[in-house]
Amino acid sequence: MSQGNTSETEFDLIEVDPSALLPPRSRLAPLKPLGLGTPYRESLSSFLQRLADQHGLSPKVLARELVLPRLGINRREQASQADRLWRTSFFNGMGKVPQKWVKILEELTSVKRLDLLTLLPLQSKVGMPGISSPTRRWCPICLHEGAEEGIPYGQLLWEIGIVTACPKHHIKLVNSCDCDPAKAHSSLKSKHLPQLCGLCGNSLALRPGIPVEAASEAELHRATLVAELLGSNLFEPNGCTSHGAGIVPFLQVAVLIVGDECAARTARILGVSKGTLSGWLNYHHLPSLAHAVSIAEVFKVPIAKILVGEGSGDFSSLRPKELQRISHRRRLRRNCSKDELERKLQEILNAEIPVSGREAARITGNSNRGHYLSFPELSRAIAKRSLDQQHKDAQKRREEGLLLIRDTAMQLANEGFIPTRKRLEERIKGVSTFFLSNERDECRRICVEVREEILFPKRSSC
Amino acid sequence: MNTPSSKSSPLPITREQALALSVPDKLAFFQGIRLNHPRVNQLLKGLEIMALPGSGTDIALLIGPTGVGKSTLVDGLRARIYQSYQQELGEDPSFIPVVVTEAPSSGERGFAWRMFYLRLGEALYEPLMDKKQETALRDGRVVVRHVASGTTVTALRVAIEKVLRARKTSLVIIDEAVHLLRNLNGNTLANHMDALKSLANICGVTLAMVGSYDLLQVLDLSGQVARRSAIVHFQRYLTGVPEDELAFRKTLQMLQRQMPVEGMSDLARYSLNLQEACVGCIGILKDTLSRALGMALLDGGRWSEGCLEKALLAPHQTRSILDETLQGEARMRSKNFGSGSFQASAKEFKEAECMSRGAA
Repeated sequence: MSQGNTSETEFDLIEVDPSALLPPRSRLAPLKPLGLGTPYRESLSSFLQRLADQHGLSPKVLARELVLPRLGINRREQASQADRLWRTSFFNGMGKVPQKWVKILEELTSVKRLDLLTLLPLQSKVGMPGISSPTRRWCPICLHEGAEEGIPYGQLLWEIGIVTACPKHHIKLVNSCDCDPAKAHSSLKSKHLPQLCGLCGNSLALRPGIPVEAASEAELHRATLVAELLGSNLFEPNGCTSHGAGIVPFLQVAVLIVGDECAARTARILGVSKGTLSGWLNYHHLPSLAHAVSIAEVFKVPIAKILVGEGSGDFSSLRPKELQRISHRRRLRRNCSKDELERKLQEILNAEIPVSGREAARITGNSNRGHYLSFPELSRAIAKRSLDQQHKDAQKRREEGLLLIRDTAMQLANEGFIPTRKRLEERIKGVSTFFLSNERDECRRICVEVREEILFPKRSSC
Repeated sequence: MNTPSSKSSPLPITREQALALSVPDKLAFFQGIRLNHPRVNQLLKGLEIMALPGSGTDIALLIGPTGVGKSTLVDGLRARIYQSYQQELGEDPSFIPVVVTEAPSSGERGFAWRMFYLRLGEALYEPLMDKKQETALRDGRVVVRHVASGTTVTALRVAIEKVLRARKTSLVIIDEAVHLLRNLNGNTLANHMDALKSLANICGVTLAMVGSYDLLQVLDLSGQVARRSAIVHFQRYLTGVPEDELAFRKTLQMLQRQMPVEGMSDLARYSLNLQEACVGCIGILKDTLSRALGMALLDGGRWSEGCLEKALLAPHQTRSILDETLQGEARMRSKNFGSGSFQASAKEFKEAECMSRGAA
């Protein structure tokens, strides 16, 4: 029998099911977000509409069947929420809704960094109220250009409340299709895409019937500032998003330098109340994006730099109107030569006890502003050292106060009285009522500890 | 991530371990055995090249007699493609290089395109196939065509086109493609093939249609279809050809080694008889051995030659398969399909010219 050309290696068992060689696949086919890396990036609602269209679904069905079950929303609520959530003004904002939707859409499509299609990178940097536009708006020319390139889409810029113009085409954003409500489709027949009117199905790109009006200078300037913010590092995949010290350091330097350590003056310059500025500086609340834009307009600094705490080095080149008035009233005084001033400032910086910028000005006989204009680095270092010392002193006073509270509580307990805040107030002479009410939680904790330690000790088991 | 129709890979148990299983599990173990043999290895190489983008093939016909092992070949092709794209599959969770679906035979008149697209969508992990929307342009306005059944064939077709492009699929394998040809009249087959060819063109995929020799009529439809098509002929192992007889015998021995039953004599002495009885098709051989195994297990695990004889197909069944196979092979020879030789092409050209001159 002939052996033939077959070899043993041509006969082998197939041991693996081919399906096992295919790793788990994403539920939805991916869709590339548009405009990333530019100020004209796509919004999350536009991405959702295009994603639904890619899969031949309506956004409502996609939301109801694939997204809402993952949000833990029950079946009864799904029907009403499915068509509501993605149309809301906060969908592209900074809250929990866009956070959750971004996470779920990233899981479904395996597309990363969908948070860059929302205002989530501005979280913990600006306040939420009023950040999103309550109505749908668009630039007809941008949509027209997008249609010519093949893929029209809705921009995140249009979703921001204070933006009312297109910085590219210098026209006002449009918010009405001007269609006849009587001719509107039923919701079952409506097609939802960024370039279509959801009521009548007409294109929203440039055509007769869509009003186009030129934007004012102020509107354009605001829109340009916000567009720069969207094109900045804050909205880059590898840029700083959660890092950066926030707007407060910028404001602190503004108070020191521009307001000459006077918060009221700085508040006047910024056009806000002293209470508002104080709230910002003490981290009670964040400025809104509209305020951040105003600050950027006043000081002519990019918003992105303000929001990460940078951009405070250029005050010397600024001439906001308020500053001009101050510089007329308070002229730059220099009682000594520049070298001598530098030497004196260096001595103040190296002194054992830190002093504030105002105190340094008193020592040298010049103004604080003069110090900053001549030697900005030294001036900043002196101010920072003083601030750090103030913080340390505040911390030390707090610790001393708490120690005093503890001693007094123990004294009360040893005398047989249950220590309470009222009794502490009556007994303590050296600590103010203000301190006691601010440290209410600590007081309570100390009282409970002392109570358990001295009055009601736990019996140890033998 | 979701795998709506995921199969877990079978636990790799050996024959010795399978001996300890219950009767149904033993049968399932043997049913799950897949074997590479020389024909499969030869064809896999050619098919893999055809599946590459830019290969110049829109439609590949994988043709062979019933029970020869076409579905096993398809499994092997899938495994090979997945292995060669392992890195890309890991990096891109949306990528599906190859998809396999079965052409449905729903029993209704004509081909069930709706069911075909639904199955294809499921194989592509496309969700909510029953809710796809069709849009239309009316008076310059875009509207959704609302239907009571939830979706239309057009909507399904558009969804399939989009998902094939989005998932970067390069090969769509349609098993049991002969179902496309049933109950056709007039130009219906041409219309069906146009629909498939258009799908291949628009999405940039190669369509591999798997079925019996009846699929050859597809190539007679038009020059365009013939130009962009290729045939892969999965031949049976022929008796009288020493290499084929040796390969069949070795395959039989490999299968016997996997049968979870004790006391079997060497079946190699029945190799020629089995090759004739199974028309040279490994699939029919495996089915025969499965039936024999079942009979032996039901008889208390006692193997006898009688089990094998009883498991063979009835003579009229074998005859029917053989006739069909011989006819198909004859058509393949007469049309010189797959010969790829200059002689064959020249002969065909001269014949066609003579016929047209004669007609003129």
